[in-house]
Amino acid sequence: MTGRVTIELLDLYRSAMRIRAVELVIAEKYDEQEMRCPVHLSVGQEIVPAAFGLLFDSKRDACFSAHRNHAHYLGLGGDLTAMFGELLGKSFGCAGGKGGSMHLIDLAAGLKGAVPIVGSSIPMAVGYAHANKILGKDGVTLVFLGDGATEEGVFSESLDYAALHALRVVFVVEANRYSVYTPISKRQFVGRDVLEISKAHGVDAVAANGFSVPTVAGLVEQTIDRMRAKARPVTVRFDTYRWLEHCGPNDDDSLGYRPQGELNEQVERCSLKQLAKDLSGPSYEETLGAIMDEIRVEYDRCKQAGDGYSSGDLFSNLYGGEVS
Amino acid sequence: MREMTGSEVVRFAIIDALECDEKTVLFGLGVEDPKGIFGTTLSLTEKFGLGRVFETPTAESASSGIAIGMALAGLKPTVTYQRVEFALLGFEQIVNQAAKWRYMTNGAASCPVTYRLIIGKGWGQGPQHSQGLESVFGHFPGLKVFAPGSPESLYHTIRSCMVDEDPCVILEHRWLHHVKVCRNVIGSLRVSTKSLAPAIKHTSGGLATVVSYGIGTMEALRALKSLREHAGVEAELVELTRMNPLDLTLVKESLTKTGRLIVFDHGWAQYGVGSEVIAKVALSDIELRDKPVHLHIAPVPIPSSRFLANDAYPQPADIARKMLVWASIDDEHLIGQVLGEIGLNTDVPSESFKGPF
Repeated sequence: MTGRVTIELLDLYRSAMRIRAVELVIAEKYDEQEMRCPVHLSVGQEIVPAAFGLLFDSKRDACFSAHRNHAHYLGLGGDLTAMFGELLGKSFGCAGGKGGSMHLIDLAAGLKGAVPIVGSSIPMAVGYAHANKILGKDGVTLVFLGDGATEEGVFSESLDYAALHALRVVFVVEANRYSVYTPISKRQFVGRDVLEISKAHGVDAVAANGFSVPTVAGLVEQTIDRMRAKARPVTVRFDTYRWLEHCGPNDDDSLGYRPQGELNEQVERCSLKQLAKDLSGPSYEETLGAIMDEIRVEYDRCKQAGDGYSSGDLFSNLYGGEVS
Repeated sequence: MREMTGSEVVRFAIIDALECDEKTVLFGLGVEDPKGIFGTTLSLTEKFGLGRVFETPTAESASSGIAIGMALAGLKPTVTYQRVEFALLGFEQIVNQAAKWRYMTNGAASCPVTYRLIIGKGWGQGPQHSQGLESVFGHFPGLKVFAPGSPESLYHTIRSCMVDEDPCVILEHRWLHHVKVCRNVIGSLRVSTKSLAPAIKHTSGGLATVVSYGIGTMEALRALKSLREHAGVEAELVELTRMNPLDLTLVKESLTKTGRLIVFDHGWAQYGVGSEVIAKVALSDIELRDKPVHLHIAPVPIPSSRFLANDAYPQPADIARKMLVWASIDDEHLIGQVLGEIGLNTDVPSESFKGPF
């Protein structure tokens, strides 16, 4: 058994701030119309992906995500050039430009799958974990899903399978309250509890306040520790909140689907601003500005680079070998 | 002659794949049960262990995706569904994920999963237990789709799909499980290194080219045998084993000789396999001497009643009728002999079949 893993809050801060800075640069540059694919930005939701990313070993662990995957990709240490390349639709993108923002799949980073069909990557993660078990490998498989994905039938099917085979898989539920614009109150019975659903399938489950940085760090440490020690699936649910629109670069409070004042309240109690104060380093604004400057340079470099495609690329990699 | 059944052939194909590639695994509801997927997986768990051959929950949506995750982690899983229609619960995973994975990762990852879907027919299977859906699965670039129509191609398909580097869908017709085949034939296939051909020519002849796939192949063979024996009429039968990518090289070669085309299609005509074959021939340089003939399933769900269902399927006798016209044979007695031996559609694969499923 490995020793207890720890998350240094300064590392967590740096990783989360990098995620936020990248997302804000994407939002800032989106109107240039060079990143011509739907983007589901993660501003407000950085802490949980950053915390898991810090304890993730890309050589042995695996991660699966969905449409809102930028934070997961960056949290795992994903390559920024490959990410911008993918968003800009260029051949140096992590998926050769064929996937786009919703498919930031990068084997080296450990992000083995990211797909926008809600719930669809959940069984993939379970299958990955089962293959690990069959192959005698002890890596942990993470799957990030939203509260909406827990409504898909395949979530329940996957819980059962993971428990049945005692798999090293973590179902990380990032509950941001909205499935596109539809609030949880219009989607789920008031007593519906993903922890109880998980437990009823034999999957351990625990929830935490996703806005409290020490709480998130503590639960993520505990989860990974347990998972390394013993193969037994677990659901961890974090409250979180998306600041920008479901898809796109803007604030969408004008649509009126969120209760008045809710967004402002969330922005005011920003976990990262609080963490900056707690760490007594440079101010949040100063740090964010400095990282964004660096990222703008990288974005511009990627934007100016050629697309790099050659004839035949449209048809390449459909099948493995020559198919007559 | 020592014989074996089609289901034993499938079982040997699975055994050979499991033995030749240690990354292969096989799972699905029923693989460990006493019936062992129509006998095709009997005692394989005992032989290979629970890490290679195992049961799943009744959860097709998850199973279809779990197989993908296993493939991404380095295994080559095969999932078995005892009827094609259950795979529709996991259709999203098959066509959105497995089919696209290699392309949308630009070759960084592949998805060597095989979905083994069994087609029911007869004995009142009815609207939701008797569909082939070859054309539905065949629609998607990135999937390899197979509908073997003979014990030989069935063996080849199963063994080669299970070790393939790409996602495969096998539409496996249950009636082929009942076909008797000489042990020597399969024995030589098992040691052969020949790979699966996308199409197989079963008979030779000059009058016409008959194209079929799946169980239609066996029925067309019955018609051609009777024609040859009673009327001396010979035609070429080409079995399409692979629906996607579709390879019509053999069909076109044959048509340049015969100039006449009959497609015997075990699917609905609209947007179907037969229509695709006819369209591709029409768009090619081949000039047919007669209008192509398309025999297909009637445009209704297959009813349970055998009194109705037998008429919904295409009649192999209709292949013979058309060929007799082309051969200018109008001797009523001779025609009666040819058609009599072919017989009408029945709802069982063989006289020994007693149900229940």
